Amino acid sequence: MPDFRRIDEIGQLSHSFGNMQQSLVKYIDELKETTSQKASIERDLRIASAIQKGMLPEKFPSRADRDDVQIYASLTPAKEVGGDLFDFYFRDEKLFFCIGDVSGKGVPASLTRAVFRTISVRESMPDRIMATMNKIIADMNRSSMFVTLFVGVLDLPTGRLYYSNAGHDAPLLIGAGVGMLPCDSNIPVGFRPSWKYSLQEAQIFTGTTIFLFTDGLTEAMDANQSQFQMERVTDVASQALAQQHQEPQQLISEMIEAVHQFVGDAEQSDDLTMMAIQYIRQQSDVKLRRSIVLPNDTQEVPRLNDFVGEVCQTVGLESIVAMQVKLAIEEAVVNVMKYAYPEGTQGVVTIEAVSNEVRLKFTIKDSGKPFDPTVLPEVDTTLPAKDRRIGGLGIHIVRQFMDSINYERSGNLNILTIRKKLINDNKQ
Amino acid sequence: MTTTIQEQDGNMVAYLEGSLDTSTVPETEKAMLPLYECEGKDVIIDCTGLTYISSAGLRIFLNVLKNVEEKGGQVYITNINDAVRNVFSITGFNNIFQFK
Repeated sequence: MPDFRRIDEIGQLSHSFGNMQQSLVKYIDELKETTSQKASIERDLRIASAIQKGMLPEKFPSRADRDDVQIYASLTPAKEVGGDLFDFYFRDEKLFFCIGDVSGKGVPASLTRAVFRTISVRESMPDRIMATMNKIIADMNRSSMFVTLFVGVLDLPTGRLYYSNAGHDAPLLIGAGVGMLPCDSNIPVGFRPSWKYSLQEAQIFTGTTIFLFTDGLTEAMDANQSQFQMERVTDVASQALAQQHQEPQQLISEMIEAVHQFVGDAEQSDDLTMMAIQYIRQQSDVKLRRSIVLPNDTQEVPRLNDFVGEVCQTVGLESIVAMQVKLAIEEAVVNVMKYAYPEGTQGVVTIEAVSNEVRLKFTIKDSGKPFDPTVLPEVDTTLPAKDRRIGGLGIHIVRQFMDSINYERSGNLNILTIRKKLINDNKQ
Repeated sequence: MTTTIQEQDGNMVAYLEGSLDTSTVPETEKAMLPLYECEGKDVIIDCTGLTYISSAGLRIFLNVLKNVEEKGGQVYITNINDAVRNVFSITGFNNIFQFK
């Protein structure tokens, strides 16, 4: 493990996982050397694999929990402590997820996952997440291990999928039919720190399931050493689809069942990991759509506030809520006027308001320099006056008064989407 | 946005009227400058006519507070409406100001 003292959070992570790694490796080595009783080794390896599994998400959102996505995953470790990992988490109406396979047993898969989490708090695009993970893992990499990894970011309101692949198996899309998500292969993560990972995009439609897996699935072997192979994976997926079984938990249980039947009594040769993500959001009809274009001049704020005020009135928000929405949009737009366009440059900001029966959405677009306000550090609102700084307060106000904020960089545009629920539906 | 400053009963009182959004911040900041010369007197900011405040507006309040406290005075906010008070609450500014 390298010395990460200069980078606080990564340093702490590195330290704690370093300890875990060392104790785990030492533990296994000692077991291998000193114990002659097979039963005892097996028992202790079960404990080690429980440690590996304990580092993975355990609670999977279903239709009862969320109205946009449901997820299920399964990791079955082979006898030794394996190198597979998967993870997912939600931030700002985006689902961040990854699946990967660490070659060799040197660096724990759980460390790779922890690095993924740490980085995706700050980065919103998968190619950037991948590039940073690659640098960090390459830095730690003394042996010649590498990680095949797929990183995806699903924009939940729109179903837009952004992804980057590092030599991992391409996921299947199970929707209108069954097909492979087109993936640039790039190279696995961990040995060429300067590699530029490509960013890809796809549209995921309501009802479609993204099925991710590791090579433990395609290479599962029966007693005659023949492999399960991709054709069988596709067949099982097609059968599941034909019976409308593409719901994540059911799909994965049918896949596991098929693998078990194929493998029979043969010993499991590699970790077997699958994750299924089904996009279930229903789009509702648009009731209102208005927009305004303003120059990047804060003297235009009264025009902006009049525009937002009228929108709020039209959708029937009570006055105190209307003022909160007005303030949130002012803060977001002033941020753009001040930071996306360097002092003295001219530019415009477009603000579009769209609402359906349940939500009011503002989309703020500018063609200034890339500026992601959602990754700014949270302000500390408990500090005394002398220590208070005013920066970051605007975005704090947006988060407090609105239900979600989401940033995307698309072409040369910054796109900020801010939403407010119009009715309380007790979900989330 | 109009700002009026008066001396009353040994205090300095600033009456704010209108919408303190980003566009009215520069003029309001300038109009509030005399409060920095309070020479130890207490300052009361009367918000009866204040309908709206943005984070840039809060910055003016913070600057007044820092300057007045340095000179040994206190700052009080009075007659603030619920909507504006709400903005003070979610930003934690209610913890650093005294309300009357």
